[in-house]
Formats: sequence, structure tokens, C-alpha cells
Amino acid sequence: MTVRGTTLSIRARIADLIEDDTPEEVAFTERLIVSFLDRAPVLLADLTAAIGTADLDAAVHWAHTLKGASANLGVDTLASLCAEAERLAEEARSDLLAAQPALLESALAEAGTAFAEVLGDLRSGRPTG
Amino acid sequence: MSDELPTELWRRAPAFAGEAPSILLVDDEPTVLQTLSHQLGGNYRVVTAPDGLTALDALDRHGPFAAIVSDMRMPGMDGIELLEQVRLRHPEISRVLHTAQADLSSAISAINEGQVFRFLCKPCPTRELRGTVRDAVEHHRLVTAEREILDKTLRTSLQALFGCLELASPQAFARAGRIRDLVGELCRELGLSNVWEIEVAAMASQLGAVTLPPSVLQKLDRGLPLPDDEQKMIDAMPGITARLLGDVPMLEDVVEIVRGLQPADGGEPHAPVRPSGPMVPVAIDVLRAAIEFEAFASRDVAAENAVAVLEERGGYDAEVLAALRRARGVTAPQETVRPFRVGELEVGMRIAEDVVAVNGPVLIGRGLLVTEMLLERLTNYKHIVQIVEPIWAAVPGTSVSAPPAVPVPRSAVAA
Repeated sequence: MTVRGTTLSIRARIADLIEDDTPEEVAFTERLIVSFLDRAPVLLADLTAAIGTADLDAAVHWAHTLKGASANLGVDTLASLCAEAERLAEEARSDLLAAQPALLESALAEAGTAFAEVLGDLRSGRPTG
Repeated sequence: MSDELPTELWRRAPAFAGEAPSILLVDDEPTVLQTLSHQLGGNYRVVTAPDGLTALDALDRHGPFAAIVSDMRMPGMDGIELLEQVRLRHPEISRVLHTAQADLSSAISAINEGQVFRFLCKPCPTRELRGTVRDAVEHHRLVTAEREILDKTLRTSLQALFGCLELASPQAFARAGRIRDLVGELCRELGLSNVWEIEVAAMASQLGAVTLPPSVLQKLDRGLPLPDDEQKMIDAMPGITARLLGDVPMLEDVVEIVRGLQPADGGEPHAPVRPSGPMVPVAIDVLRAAIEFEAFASRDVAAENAVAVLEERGGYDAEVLAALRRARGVTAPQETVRPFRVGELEVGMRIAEDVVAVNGPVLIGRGLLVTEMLLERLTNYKHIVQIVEPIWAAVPGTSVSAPPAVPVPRSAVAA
């Protein structure tokens, strides 16, 4: 998925979460995005470390956790890559798993760019969808 | 279990919190819990739990819940196992699985083991989530309403049945009431649950009294010794109840309790004819002790002596006898027994001696509380037959006992 595609999936999810368009919803969504942007790099670092040390159980756990947090905000690219990493770790495919951290870093960077735009819109009152 | 307590995250409609249905959300990902709470918090009281064990704890401590929405994959107990536990412990709660794993094996397990109401795929659009939870809450409401109707049907049917006993044999009805009251006290002393079943069994155990000749009923009521042929009639009473109630749904344990009173050949207690609830054996002990104690009390044997005889006979659970001592060892609220004309009786008094017609039959058994309905009956009797007056009634002191009533089944029906 491209940056454009990531932005679209994120915006669709955010628009869904502020369906009633109340100030409380907007404030909640902002908090949720900021929380994700704080937490996702930490989760990715944990996943990368687990892959690096061939701790497959830990890799499954961190991939699953990052997948859930990503999907929750519509970061479909990152969620799909996490699902792939989770599957590879479950199947003990360490050879293929080694390539995942770089792909995940790139997807998370894309998501960061998309969220910056969305946060700007939310704070300026522009429509996000 | 996580150290984290289940928390009530979202309460955007505090004015309606008292009436809003409660929803339990379970997910190990905190942002998912926050999002779900945000999506549902406007319409429901939302409680969240980060894992299965905490969720089960929340069901007991923060319920009642209308629905549970659970993640599939969590550390420790997974979503299917959790929903299966919920089904076993709280079958009326609607169960929704919220999962990113839409594979066939998960679906099969969720349906077969958790018997889920709906699946939701992650991330779930707000409208779909709210619609599904609304349906789940409605499903819960229907299940609960059906159960309440069944409970009410059972309760009122039993009232009608025991009302027939009262019409056919006021003496037996009053005796049944005295036994039931004692059983209720013993159950409270013993901390037993499902008390309504034991109390219903106490009343039902006397239904067979309608088959007794008046002379035998009189002896039974007064706790007098009976010759063998008359004792056989008494021994047959539980069997009569079992035949009357044997096919009534939800009274299976009641029937087993009554059946347990029937001595089999050789004097040993009757063996259950089918698997019964765990409380049945102790309920049989409680009821047997109450019936025996009532026989002594009818002969004006002192409570201490009656319990001592039961101990000497053996065959009674020691805890039941201890409860009997506690229940009857405490001084009852002071009552003064005085003679009254029918027109002088007042609601709240207790009939101290059987009310009889001049030609002999017992019209109202002793021990019954005077209610407006009972006063009306007495007035009617007075116009039709001559009542022996005065009527001896106990005037309560400061504390008045609750009026006798048919025990209420609280959760007679499993959803």
C-alpha cells in the first residue's frame, strides 16, 4: 500500500470514530492517535529485538500486539505486515522473518506522516474523511 | 490474572447510568478497549477487563451484564474459553466474539464451545458495532423476560396447588406451613442456597395428607404415635407428591427431596431415581429433621428434649441438628396468647390453636398469620357453620413475623 493508501485507510477509520462529530469525540481521537504514535515505536523495537534474538514466542506476542493497535486506528499496511510477521514467527520461518523489521519501520514512518496530516485537520477543525 | 482491576472507563451518560444496560469489554490491547468504550459508552454502562480471569471476576463483582464483547487471542485464557465459561456461569449474558482471526477453526470453536451470539471483525465500524451490541442486549432482554415469565408461572402454579391443599385440608396446610417455616430457619442457619426449592419441598411433602382419613390426620397433626397400618399411610405421602409433581419441569430437585423422605424397604432412605442437584442430600436431612421436630413440638415436647431424642435416634446430619438447636434455642419474640371473638381478630395476630367448627372439622390450622383474606374466610365460616369461640390467638410484641407465603423461586430457570 502507498502513503496515499495508508492515509485513506487511516482517515476512513478516524471518520468512523468521530461519527457524531462532538468535541469529546475529537479530543478522544486525538488522544488515541498520540498514544499510538508514542507506543508503536516501542512495540516495534520490542518486536525487532525478539526477531534479532530468535525469540519466536516473544516475536509472535509483539507482532500480535502491534497488529491490534495498528488495525484499531486503520493503519492497514502496518497491520498486514504485523500479521505476516506473526505468521512467520509461528511457523518458525526465521529466514523470512529477518526482513520484516525494515518493512515495518517503513510502514510505521508512512503512518506517522499520515497521522500528522490527520492531527492537523482535527486541530484546525477541517473534515478528516 | 492481571493485577489490574476491571475499570469503568467510559460513562458519558451519567444521568442514565442507573438504567443503562451494562456491557463487559475484554481485550488485552488497551487502545482497543479505549476505542470500544468510546464507541459504546454513550448508550451503555461499560466495564473493561484486560484478560479472561479478570473478566470472570468482573462478572461476579460488577454485574449484572447484558452482553460481553471479547477479543479472541489473549494471554492465558483465550476468547473462546472465556465465552464458554460465561455461558456456563451466566447463560443469560449475550456473548460476542471480537476477532481479527476470521479463520474457520476459530468460528467453529466459538459456535460449538462458546455458543456466541455474533462475530465482529476487527476493527469494527462504529455503526456495525453499535448495531450488534444493541441486538445482543435485546437478545438478553428477551431471554431474561422469558425466564421471569417462567418463574412467575411456576410460582403462581405452586400457590394455586398449595391453595388447593388449604381448601381441602386446612390442618395439613397449616402443618406444612409450620414445617416450611422451620426449614427456612434451618436453611438460613446453615447458609444454604436454593432455599426456595427446599421450602417448596416442605410444603409439597404434605400434599399427600389429603388422602388421609380425618382421624389419622388428627394424630399426625398432634404428633401422636400411629399403628403400623396408619404409619404406612404417612410413609406413602412422599410417593404421592412425587407422582403429582414428577413431570413438572424445574421441580426435579423438589421431587427428589420429597422422594428422599420416603423410607425404602429395610428403613434406609430412598435412593434418588435420577441424578439430582448437589443440595438434595442436605435438603432431605433438613426436611426430615424439621418434620420430626414438628411432631415433637405438636406434642408440646420442649425443643431441647426433641433435639436430644433426634440425636439419640441417629441418622441426622450433625450440622443440621446444631442448626436446629440454634434455631430453636433462641427465645422467640414475645407473644401473648389471648382469647378473641372472630370480630376482634386483627391482621398480624397468629392463630394459636386450631379454629374448629362446632361439629368438629378444623377450619383454620394453628400457626397461620391472620391476614385480611383469613379474616374474610373466618367471617364467611361464621355465617355458614358455627365456629367454636373464643379463638386463641397470639398477639405479637414489637416484632411481627412476615406473613406465610409460598416460597419464591429466584432463578428457577436456566436460560
